[in-house]
Amino acid sequence: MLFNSIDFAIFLPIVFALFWLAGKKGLVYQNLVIVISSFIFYGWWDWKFLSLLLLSSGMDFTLGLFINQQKTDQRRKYMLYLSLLLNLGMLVFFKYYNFFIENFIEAFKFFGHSIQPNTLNIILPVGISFYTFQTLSYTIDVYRKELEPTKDPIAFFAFVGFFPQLVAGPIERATNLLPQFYTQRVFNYDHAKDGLRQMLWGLFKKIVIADNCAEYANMIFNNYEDHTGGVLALGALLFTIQIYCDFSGYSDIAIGTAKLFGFHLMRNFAFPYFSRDIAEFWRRWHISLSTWFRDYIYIPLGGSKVSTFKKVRNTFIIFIVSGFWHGANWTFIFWGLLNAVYFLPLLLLQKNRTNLGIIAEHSIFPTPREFVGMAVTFCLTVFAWIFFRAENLNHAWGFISGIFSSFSQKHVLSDIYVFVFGKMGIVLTVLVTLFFVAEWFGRRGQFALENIKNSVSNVMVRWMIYYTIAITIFLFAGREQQFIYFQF
Amino acid sequence: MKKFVLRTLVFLLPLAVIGWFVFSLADGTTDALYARFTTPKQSSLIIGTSRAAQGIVASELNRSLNRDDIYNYAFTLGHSPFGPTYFESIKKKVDSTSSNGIFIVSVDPWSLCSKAETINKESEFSEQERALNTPFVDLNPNLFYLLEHYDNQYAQIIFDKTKTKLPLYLHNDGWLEVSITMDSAAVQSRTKEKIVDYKKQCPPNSVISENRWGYFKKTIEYLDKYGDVVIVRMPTGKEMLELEQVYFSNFTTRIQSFCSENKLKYLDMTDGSSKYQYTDGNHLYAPSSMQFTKELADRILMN
Repeated sequence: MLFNSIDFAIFLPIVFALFWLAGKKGLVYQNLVIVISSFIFYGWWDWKFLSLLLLSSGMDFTLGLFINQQKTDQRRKYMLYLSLLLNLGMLVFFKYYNFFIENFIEAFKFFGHSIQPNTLNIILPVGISFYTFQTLSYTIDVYRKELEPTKDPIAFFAFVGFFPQLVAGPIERATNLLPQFYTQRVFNYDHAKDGLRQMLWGLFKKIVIADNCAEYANMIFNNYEDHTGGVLALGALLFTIQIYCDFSGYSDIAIGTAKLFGFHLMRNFAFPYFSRDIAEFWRRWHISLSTWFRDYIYIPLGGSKVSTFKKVRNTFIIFIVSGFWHGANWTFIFWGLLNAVYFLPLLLLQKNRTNLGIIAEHSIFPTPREFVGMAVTFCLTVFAWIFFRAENLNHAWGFISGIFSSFSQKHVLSDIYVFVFGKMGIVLTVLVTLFFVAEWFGRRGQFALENIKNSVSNVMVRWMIYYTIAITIFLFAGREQQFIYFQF
Repeated sequence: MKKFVLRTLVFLLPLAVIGWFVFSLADGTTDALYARFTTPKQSSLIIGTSRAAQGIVASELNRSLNRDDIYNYAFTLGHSPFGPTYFESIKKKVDSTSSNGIFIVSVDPWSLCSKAETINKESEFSEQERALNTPFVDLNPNLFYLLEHYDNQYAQIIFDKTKTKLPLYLHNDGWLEVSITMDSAAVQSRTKEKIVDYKKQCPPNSVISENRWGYFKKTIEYLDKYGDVVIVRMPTGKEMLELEQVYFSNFTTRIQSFCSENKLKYLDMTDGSSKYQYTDGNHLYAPSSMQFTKELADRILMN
């Protein structure tokens, strides 16, 4: 079920009512409502893949208990390895099997041998990368004794399947979310209101900004040979806006929905495009995944408290694994590699933790230095997204060479002008501009509208703003596009 | 909790009113299909694909046949080839309390074709996911259609109403009027493009499907219960007609024998194809549609 669908608009109020009614009967009933509604939510796509979710949840619930029962560290470790093997095995099979086979074929061909192993017609189950990482965090935390394994299967299944974040995150840590299923939820008016506000902003980002930008980004990327450099650069920029609004919009809706049910999910985005360097960008982009890699891979590898060589090695491992997590394509690996290269100078100069606070925290505008940092980081990110969006590396190279081969010509600006005003139209340009202005002024909050109460004290004016956003969503919704991160 | 629910409803109510208001503005300017799903059930229909949608002017037919109930319920080749989707949609649109209607069913080989590789597979009826599967065909405003199948921004509903000239306008009688430039170069270019496109849909890529033929028969049987059925082969451009004759050489014979077996009126109007103007070598140009409709009415009255 998609957040931006009529089905969800009917589903959510029903589950909301059932959940709070069940609350009067007790915690178990509330959790049961979550489990059943989450399975319906997931099964709406394809009920067959529900079995995979059940298998993954059941497996890790059992292994969590087994790990805890083992007397020796060695046996605990075996149990953890079993969990890693089963979870990652499932992920590798569904997501990477054909990628590995195809690359084996290519490699053999390169050495003059021709092999014909079977590729399988595998459909990628939606959200598999997300819930696999979430359940893995549980068994790892139990192994590390940072978390008591749960004996309550309903709470555990609710934790894995919790529908707001099941298919595209935020990837929750068991230590944060699981305990929330142990305590009775009490309805909090302000918390729920904040949730609705965040959902509204998420819907605006996804439906208005991302879906409209997607139409033109797709147009440019899919026919890149027909466009000149300026328009190609514009295409990369549109995709940069699309992917942020698509994914952070999803996260906002997820976090906002969870708030309606009294849950607190971790933050996933913190205005990454206002970052002053690439290290700051990665502290603000897809936070739940970045911190997952930090906690479960980077730190166990020694983190930054090792020799320079190992620090560099660890950084490259993290970025490449992160790229590969996104999909079975060399484009993602290259995207990860490129970001590692961006990150390297900061690491070596020990400047990767320079910009920890909010940009222009006490002023309206950034300093010239901050502005330059922000602009450079943004441009580097736009460039890297080309690889992320491209179908394959040849597509990416073609696109990039297209940008640079005709970028210096005189008609660059007029081409952009014709595309923006002739095809996209002024409305989208204005909406995107207003969106970034709103994000800038809201950057001190968890999401752009969080602190609206402080900046706009008049209730009527606030409601007018909400109405304007809601009506804009209704009138200017772009053609429905699948959330990009569903494919991961 | 009560306060939250109440305030949420108070917030949503004006939005629902605005939404309803915008949807109620939707009409023949909205798109090429919508208005047909907003009129009441009909006792007489024009059935077919875009040739009939653009080529038969229902109001003119009503005038010539001295009726007032004929409605154009033809869509496009992508939406309304003979098949389960169109059949079900027709059943929803027909006023089953009437028994003296007239049903003009336009046929051509394309509306009975399926892609060869999909025949007898689930994917054969690719139109199933498209607009004609809308659950209600007589609602105004039709929220189901607008929410599920309207393909533009809803702001467009308002903007299009303010335009004085639109390339497509769906009249109240279901006739789709297409207003495009008709200079010889533009027509030639569109015709060339159309023929290239249709050549791709010729055998062996697409073939007449017995499944579609079965639904065609079912449709006729169903309509026959509620009035007279007239099968019409509409005129089309010279090159298109040649294409049909080359690739579907026995189609005319098959249709003729089907009609005679079932005692149905069959009017092959392709013989007068050269009299008319076409926008793209396939569809009649609006003034020609008027002329053709009058001739169609005459032929119906003659038979």
